[in-house]
Amino acid sequence: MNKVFAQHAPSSVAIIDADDGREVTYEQLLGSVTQTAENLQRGLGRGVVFHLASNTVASIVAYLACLEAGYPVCLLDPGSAARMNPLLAAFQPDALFLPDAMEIPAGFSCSASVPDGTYRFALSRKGGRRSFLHPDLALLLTTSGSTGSPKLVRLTRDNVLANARSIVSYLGIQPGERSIQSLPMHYSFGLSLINSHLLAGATVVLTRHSFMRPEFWEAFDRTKCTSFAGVPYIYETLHRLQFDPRQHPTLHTMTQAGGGLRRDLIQHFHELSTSAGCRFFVMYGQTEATARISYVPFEQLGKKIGSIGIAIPQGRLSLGPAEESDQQELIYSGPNVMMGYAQSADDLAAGDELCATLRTGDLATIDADGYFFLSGRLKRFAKMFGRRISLEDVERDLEARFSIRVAAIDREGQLLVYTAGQHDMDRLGITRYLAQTLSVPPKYITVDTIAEIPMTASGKKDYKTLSS
Amino acid sequence: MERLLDCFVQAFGINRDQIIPLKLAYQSIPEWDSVGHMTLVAEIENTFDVRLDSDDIIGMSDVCKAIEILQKHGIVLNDAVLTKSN
Repeated sequence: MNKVFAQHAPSSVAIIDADDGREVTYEQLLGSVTQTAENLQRGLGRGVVFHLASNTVASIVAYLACLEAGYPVCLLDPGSAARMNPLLAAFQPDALFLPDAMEIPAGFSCSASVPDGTYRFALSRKGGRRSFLHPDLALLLTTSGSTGSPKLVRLTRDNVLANARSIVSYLGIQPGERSIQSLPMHYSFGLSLINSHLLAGATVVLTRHSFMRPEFWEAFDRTKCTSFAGVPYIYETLHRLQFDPRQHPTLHTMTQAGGGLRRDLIQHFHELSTSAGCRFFVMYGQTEATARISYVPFEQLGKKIGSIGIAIPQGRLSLGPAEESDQQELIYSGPNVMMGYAQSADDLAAGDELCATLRTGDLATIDADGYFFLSGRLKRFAKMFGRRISLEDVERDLEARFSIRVAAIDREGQLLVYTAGQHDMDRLGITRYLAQTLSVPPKYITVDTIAEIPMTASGKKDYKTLSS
Repeated sequence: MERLLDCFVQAFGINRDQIIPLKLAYQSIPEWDSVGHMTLVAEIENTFDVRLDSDDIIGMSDVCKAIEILQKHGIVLNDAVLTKSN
């Protein structure tokens, strides 16, 4: 990315911390990233870095320094230290970037603090990495919320750049654009906001306040932000709070991804944004494609409510036969498709397994204008708060941890977990365990005990019966 | 009052004894984030059969504020007097 930054006007602003008013120009960002990359190289021969990313200047610099210096970096949620342990065990990172307030995990020793003191760098005590790392591997992102499956998406620098370029192109991001960082950096959609705006020479605005606090929108107005991004629950909440874009005169672009927004709310925000002279983009993506796969051009939205739109520039969407279904599976091809998954340290040596083609696991149809509509899911996922939660991972995790039989289904935004066996089952305990590991309020999880899990004739769990 | 505190227990999935009414506030525990907040709003609305407006939702940043907002809607909690001593 440094090469890209060097092409932007050196004095233009790359990042604004709206809470303390600090502005970082592209020249300063380039300097900080170079410095941090050099420090990294001095302390670490080679290896994988786990970065507990937050929406701060130091965190963005650390991420970019890893990309620059060629260290594969895994971005993780700093709010869930306990959830990091299975990942540490599975992938044995060589170094950690972690917020100053966080305890350094066993097996690591603190090596240095970043200049502003908000982050620390810790090295593994094991010393020198023995296992091979694929030279193209640059970024690792989590894909499932469950502790039971330490599964990462393997991405290259080209994946990141290609996806950012496509986003810059269809959103028309100009250097004057200012995007408020409303989503976490460890989340692929949140990271794509940073990548695309920095690639375009635009400005990323940071605040620690949540989108539902007045302080967030004060920061938005004060720093003259132009774009806002949200997942469905954010738009649902904004609707509830009677959010009106007309009260924020600099707001020009609103984007939505991270799951299907209710049609009536798409319509609502379409009308609201049109009347405010704003553009509202409904989009679709997966971490497996770095972030973005498709979008609805905003001027078409009124006619295409409920559609995931058309492929992003450089990408291609098609339909293919789906296994065990008479519907068709959505298939995406493009330069932003991951190399593959990793479930252990050894997998980090693997090369490209997908050849730029991703079976999305979503069932879809196409209309006469070439717009795609999702019609169901092939893989069993629950979509909660913008994240995909693998129901199979939830089952596997609970079955191993509690020694019970489990069938998990998703019903209207609720995660339903059926357990079979002992009647003295600690249902509350399971609910709380899931709420914590998945970061979902327990209200959205129901655990029910049934006599036995119904099975199909072919010996698989009978989800149809459970769902009815 | 217990009915209100039970809303917090339900929304955040925490134990009743984890709630210190004068200390529990928005973002004071990991469970009370923006997702948890809207869950709490729904829980309070269902429990007390009220409809909170956007100012109520934004303003409900701790337990005392929640009591005040309920009072504004004509719901008086019988032992809702929180003094600095408890």
